[in-house]
Amino acid sequence: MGTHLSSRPEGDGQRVTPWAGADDGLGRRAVLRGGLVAAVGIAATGAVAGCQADSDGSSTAATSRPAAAATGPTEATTIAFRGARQAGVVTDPQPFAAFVGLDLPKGANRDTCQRLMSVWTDDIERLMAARGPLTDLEPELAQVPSRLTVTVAVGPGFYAAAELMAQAPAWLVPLPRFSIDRLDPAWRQTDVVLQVRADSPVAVAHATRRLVVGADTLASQVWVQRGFREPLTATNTGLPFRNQFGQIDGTVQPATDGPDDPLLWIGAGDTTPPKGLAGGSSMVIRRIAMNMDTWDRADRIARENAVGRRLDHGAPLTGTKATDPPNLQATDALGFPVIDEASHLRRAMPADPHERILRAPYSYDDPPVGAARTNTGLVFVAFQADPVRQFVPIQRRLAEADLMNIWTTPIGSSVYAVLPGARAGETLGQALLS
Amino acid sequence: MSRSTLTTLTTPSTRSTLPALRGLSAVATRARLTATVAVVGCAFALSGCGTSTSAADSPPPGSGASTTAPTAAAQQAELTLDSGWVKAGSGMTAAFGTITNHSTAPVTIVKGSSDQAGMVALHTMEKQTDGTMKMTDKKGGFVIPAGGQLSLDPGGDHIMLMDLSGNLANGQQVALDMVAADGTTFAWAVPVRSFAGAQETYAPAMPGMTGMTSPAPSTPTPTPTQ
Repeated sequence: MGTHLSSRPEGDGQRVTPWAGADDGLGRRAVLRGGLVAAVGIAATGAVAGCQADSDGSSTAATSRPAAAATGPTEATTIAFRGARQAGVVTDPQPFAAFVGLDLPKGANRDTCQRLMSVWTDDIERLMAARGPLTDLEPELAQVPSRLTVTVAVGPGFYAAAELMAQAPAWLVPLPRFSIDRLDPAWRQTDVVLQVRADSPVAVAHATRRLVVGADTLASQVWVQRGFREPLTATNTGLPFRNQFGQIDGTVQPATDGPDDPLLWIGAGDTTPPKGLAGGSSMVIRRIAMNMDTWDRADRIARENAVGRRLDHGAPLTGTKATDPPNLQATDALGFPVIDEASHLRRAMPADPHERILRAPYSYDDPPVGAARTNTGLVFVAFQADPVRQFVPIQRRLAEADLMNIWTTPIGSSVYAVLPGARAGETLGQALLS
Repeated sequence: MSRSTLTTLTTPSTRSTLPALRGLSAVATRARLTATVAVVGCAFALSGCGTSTSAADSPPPGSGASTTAPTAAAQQAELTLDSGWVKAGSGMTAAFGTITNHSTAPVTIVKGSSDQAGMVALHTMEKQTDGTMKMTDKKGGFVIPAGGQLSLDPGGDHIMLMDLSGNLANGQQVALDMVAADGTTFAWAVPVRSFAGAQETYAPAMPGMTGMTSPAPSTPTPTPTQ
């Protein structure tokens, strides 16, 4: 699967090598300009690229981005549902997404969980294969699959209902409360989440509707977060991702084709994975509001300084192309660091090699509320084998200091266990619930 | 996963329809029957129509979900129920899907039974003199042509389950035993799904049938003429 990656102009942009000097930047107390608070978001290095690489090799063929994407339609392309790992984690991020948080009903038990997964397994398999679910009276809406992927992940409430708390991974708990958070209960942690992504908003809308309705009496919708990104082309595999501030968000990611699997997949590096999760992952979803009006007041130099990268092609301010390692020691004529001490790039950089996550963020631009002119932001999505070990340290640094916190506010936060894939004949969550 | 597993049994041959449903026969006389399969009127807003189609019309190969090539087990049986499902509920409900006849002779299903239902009947939907669609007994049973299919859809032909022994919940399974005219029994395990449709009414109103009694959308609205 790495073939098309290596042909990219950015070369090995997918692979992360810890930069020399990273420790220097992080070891010092940053001198903050501008009286910052901190935030998440916009990890300076962000979007997912790469292909699904099923460990069993059974479903890789259909998952590669079509070579003709730049010149031809992708609507006929399906991505395999069956496999040891779910699609939608290392799949090139499709331009349209919906994240749906749902809760199990009161009194739900393991049987409820099993029936929910039984229904969704069949529904998702059919939808991803361009067929309607069993009860779909409009299967025509599924006939343009557009690389539809649906990824199912579960929260602490799912484990509680199934009476499996003793088997739950230690990291499946609410993220620490970060000082920058202004969490709105509307975007709270839920018992389960669906990630629905496709090249077509029609496919996303239809699949989302069928899956929510199909879960009737087994799970009820709490929130929906819709997102979008640039279309994929022959030269854009989703990396980098340009957020609504115009920043290139996604220059460096863990490799999605094998070498960094222990960072991405449960059971790939740990010898005693939590019950039923080998082949799974974790998904952090944080909703980051972006203040477009105050951002408009910042000049281009200030914007680049905040992220530590150039706006045009995403190169570090000390480099000439996006994949250049930043020089954190470089200073300007006055002795100031070229890459600001509180820049997002510097603060987000891994202090240890394991502090790396696979980001698949989506922009949102929802109808404004009240007198506001915008309701814009980022659905920050990160996959990693262990969010407490890999994600939380990064987030702590960003909460402590990140110039981007001037314009961004986390308003939602949740963490889920991505279930392993369902091989032929299996139901999602089978190993966990059996 | 939804290709129903099946086994073939043999029971005494019978051609009788279920006695309790004979009261429906007067209405059923208006059913327009094709050579092989009854095709019910299509005016019903959200409904498909029961039609006889070729087995070649099955979903595209490689589609992952159920109705691909018959399994070895399925090849031993004449009839399979593909993409079958039963509407969740209590009291009474219905089963839908596509019955495929893998044999070289027509097969007529004449009755059925289920551990979870006191009575199983073969029904269809038919336009009434007032223009509404009502559920009626399927005269002559379900005929599936050799190598062909019969589609059971909300608003069309369906397998009725009455006197349910309990609530059928979304995600459960129902065991159906359907009997052909020659006595062959086909055992189908059918998944239960929540479904907002299939709100059909009966013609004529049958005492005790109270499970699915919401009025069907009458499209077009009948205009009494004299």
